[in-house]
Amino acid sequence: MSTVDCLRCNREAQQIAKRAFAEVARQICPGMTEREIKRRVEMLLIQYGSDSFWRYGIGATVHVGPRTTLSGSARTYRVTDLAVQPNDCVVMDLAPSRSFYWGDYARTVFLEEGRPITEPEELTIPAFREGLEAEIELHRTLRRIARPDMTFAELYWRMSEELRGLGFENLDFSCNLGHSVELDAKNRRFIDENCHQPLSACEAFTFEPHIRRPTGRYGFKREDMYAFGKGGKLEVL
Amino acid sequence: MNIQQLKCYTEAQNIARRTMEDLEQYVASGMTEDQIKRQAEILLIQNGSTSFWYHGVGALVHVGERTLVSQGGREYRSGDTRVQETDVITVDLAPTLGTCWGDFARTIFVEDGRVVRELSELQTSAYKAAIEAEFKLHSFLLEVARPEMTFEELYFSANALIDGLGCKNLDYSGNLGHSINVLQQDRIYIEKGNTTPLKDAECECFTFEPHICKQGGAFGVKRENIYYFVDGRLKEM
Repeated sequence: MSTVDCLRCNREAQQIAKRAFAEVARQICPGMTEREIKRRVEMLLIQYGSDSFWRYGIGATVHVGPRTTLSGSARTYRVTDLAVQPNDCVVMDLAPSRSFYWGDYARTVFLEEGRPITEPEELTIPAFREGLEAEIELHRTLRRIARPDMTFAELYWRMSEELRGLGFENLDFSCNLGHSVELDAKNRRFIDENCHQPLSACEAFTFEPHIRRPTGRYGFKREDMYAFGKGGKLEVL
Repeated sequence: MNIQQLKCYTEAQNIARRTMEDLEQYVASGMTEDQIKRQAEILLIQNGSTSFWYHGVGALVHVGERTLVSQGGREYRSGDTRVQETDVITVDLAPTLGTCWGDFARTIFVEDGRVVRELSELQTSAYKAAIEAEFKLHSFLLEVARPEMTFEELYFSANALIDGLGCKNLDYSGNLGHSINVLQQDRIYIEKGNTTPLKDAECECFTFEPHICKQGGAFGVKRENIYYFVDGRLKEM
């Protein structure tokens, strides 16, 4: 397949993830368990066109409340029956595929007085609002600074500095901030200090800072898939 | 395999079994292969599957003449073939419960637009003959398999019976089943050259899944169970 066709499949997979997330985010309410959220969103991924789940066969990793700070390989992920509280956070990371081309999409849903919220302007709890605003700011900075000839490591250092400047720490278990989009998970290159290939060496990559305040109770995550378009401009798939 | 592991594998297999029962109630003529695949995967999740271990695909479904097709999970694409008034569908399910796999395949027969759930009620003689061959193969396995028997010995004796029954082994790599493992890539197969004794399979259990057709037949059938030894005799999980 040509690059254009591959990216079309990635884009389709990404649309499936976005639709499934949007629908489940609206349904989340106090008392709903991590397991129930995972089931609902995975069923929607299939309903909307995902033909496989690329990350160790898991369509969605879901973490609720204090578990939002946990980071680990999806291979060791075990869903729990922890229930959502009236004021709480839920992190969802979705891994649908179209013809084995990946989607990869993560968001944090916030609950305030039992109401699910995904937009910062609606948030009143300062810790939640600051977390979501920091995520949005990190993605904005990425779009401003990333260039095709920038290496994964350079991007890692720049964004790590930015992240610390905003008063947050990186929770990722292997300290990366994203990865290349591949057909085989084993071939992923990571946005970390060790990858000196240029971003243009892959057709698309994810950016997914998993962050918290150093003393914070909750973790936040926001992931999008990016590819360079005409003129080297970064585009969200 | 300790009692906890046996319980976990049995439950994963029961997820598949329940899903197949639910699916038999759902399938009707006019449905597409893709529609049946999606429903099977949604049912797997509803029944408790936490991931899909086979290349992230929960259900491999083939309809009509495509039941003759044998291919690896990475090559599989569900199609738009519709179930006819009288037709055959093979369904191979790959649920997971934690790290424990289920692996369960059945052939669904449709006559006069409806699924024939009692195989003794089949009217089409070709269908009867093909599924009876499957039953004979599984009975043969229970009769001859011993802990010290090698995968290769089982391969040769079962293939001899397939020939004797006037059938052909359709499997793309010629095998008749595989070990149950934690990682997909660690599987060993019921194939020529594998001199491992059956009792030494990693999780002490294995699948038997002859994918066969009558010589010159227009459709294939498949029936898969997981087996393990109890006091030297094989038992269906």
